Amino acid sequence: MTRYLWLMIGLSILVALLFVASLLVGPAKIPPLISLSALIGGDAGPLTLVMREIRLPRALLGIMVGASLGLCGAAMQGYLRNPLAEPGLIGVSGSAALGAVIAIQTGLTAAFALALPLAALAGAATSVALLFVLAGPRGGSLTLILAGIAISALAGAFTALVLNLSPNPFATTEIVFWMMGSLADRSFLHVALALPFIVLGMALLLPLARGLDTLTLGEDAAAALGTHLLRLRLMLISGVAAMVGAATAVAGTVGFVGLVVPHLLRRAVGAQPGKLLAASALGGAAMVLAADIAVRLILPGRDLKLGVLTAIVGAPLFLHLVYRTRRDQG
Amino acid sequence: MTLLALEGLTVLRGEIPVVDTVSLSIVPGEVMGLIGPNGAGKTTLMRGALGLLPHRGRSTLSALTSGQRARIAAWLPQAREIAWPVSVETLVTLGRVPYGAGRMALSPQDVRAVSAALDQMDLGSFRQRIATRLSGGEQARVLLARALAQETPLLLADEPIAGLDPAHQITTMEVFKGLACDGRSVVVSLHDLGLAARFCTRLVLMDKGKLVADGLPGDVLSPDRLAGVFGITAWQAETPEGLVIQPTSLSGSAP
Repeated sequence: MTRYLWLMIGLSILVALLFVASLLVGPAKIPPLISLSALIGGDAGPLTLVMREIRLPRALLGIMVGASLGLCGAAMQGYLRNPLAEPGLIGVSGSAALGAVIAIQTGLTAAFALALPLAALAGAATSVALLFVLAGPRGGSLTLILAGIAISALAGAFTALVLNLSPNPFATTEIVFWMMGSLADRSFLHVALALPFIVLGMALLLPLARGLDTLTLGEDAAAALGTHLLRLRLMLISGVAAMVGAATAVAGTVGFVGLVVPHLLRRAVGAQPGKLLAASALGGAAMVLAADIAVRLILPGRDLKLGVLTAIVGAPLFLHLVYRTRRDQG
Repeated sequence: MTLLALEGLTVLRGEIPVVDTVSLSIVPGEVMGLIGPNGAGKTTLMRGALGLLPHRGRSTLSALTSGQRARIAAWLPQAREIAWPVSVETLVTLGRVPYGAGRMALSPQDVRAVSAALDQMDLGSFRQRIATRLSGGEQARVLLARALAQETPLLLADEPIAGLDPAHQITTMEVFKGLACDGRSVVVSLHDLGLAARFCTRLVLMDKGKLVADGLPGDVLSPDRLAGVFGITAWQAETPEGLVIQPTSLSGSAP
């Protein structure tokens, strides 16, 4: 118990430090103390504007998106009892991306600012409705995976179709870049839009800790221990959909965070899926904040995309973890 | 007092009844052996009785809420599943979830129950070992310890001794006997007729979903039932150690 407490404190401090660091990094080279005093003290000057309207929402979104992906990854892995599960598995992120792509292609995004995230949320909601129809309220985890794969494939195909038939090369470029995932140039509108869904998702997912722990023994034994599997599944799908839908809506698709973070932390929490939930939320926040700082430091002038970096770092990390797991099992 | 009462319990798979109008009741102090050939419906009967499967007829357990039921009956499934590399202690502590473990700190009662269950299954030195790295038989004992830690009046165990070494098979059956002496009851499905005859206070014989016989081991394991249901002949004797039964040959090939 105490070890878990120390882990949570350590991760919280890490997130706090990265949050501050994220506030201090940007194209406008401002000394740290001055920028922080401009953020907190505040006047009508341009410095305060940069801090409050550009960097603060970006850092906040880093925490929100990262926590969402980490928590959802841990929840999906715990429910499916499979370390290869990730938040995108149920097709929500693909469908949210499709919604966004349609909004860009139809020119809705030019009409009003929130058209893109709202369309992405609509895409996510549609996919969840479809998921419940396909997988049914009952049914095991296998039907859920299969339905998720089918929805992901369908959303991917439609996204490709939109790109394929797009008469507008600018829209195509915008779509391709949007899909790489980024936190650049976001505003408090994005924070306000995503926050309710992310809070709702947390409220749905964090209470599942005990139920996911009992699932270690299999569905039958978990049910006999008093875990309400039907309710757990409903809360899980709704929570993941709300969080991943909102995260994708404001940041595009950011891969590998939901897959790698639970892996990295599993040993530290004694492999207990319940404890992994909150730890992965913090770990995900730290990872996305760090990656978002890195994209600004590595290629300052080139707008390196967040999702590209997380994939470049995440994939080898994942390979290393696969190697370590194989060694452990051997 | 009845721990479990079934009245006309029927579980359908499609149109076919896998368990066909079974009625029985269990009182405290019983070790009820559930025997029958593969596919007789032993597992389905137990899952139906617990309310883990939709069924017709009445079961006192499935009428309860899942939370209430978890404090009255523990269930040890046949599939020995341990999904994550957790410690033995963590796994056994899952048996305390119906009493609030995991939601709040462990109570002294929880700690005592976990230790007692580990000792009962001879696992005291395994506490901090990673459960998934143990051998199959050791994992089976850890999972049984989890069910024991639940400290329910009734324990339903599906083939808990399959794959255990002889010493731990006997240990397990003696643990069940000990539970019965403490006024708790065990329903255990098993294929070892010798151990069933030695340790069970009562046997229920199932065949093709129907309850064929229910009574004392010596009465249930009659030669014509062994031939009719299992298709075997067996050597039987009353000894000072109790009833000894050893299957010898297929009944068709018997002299």
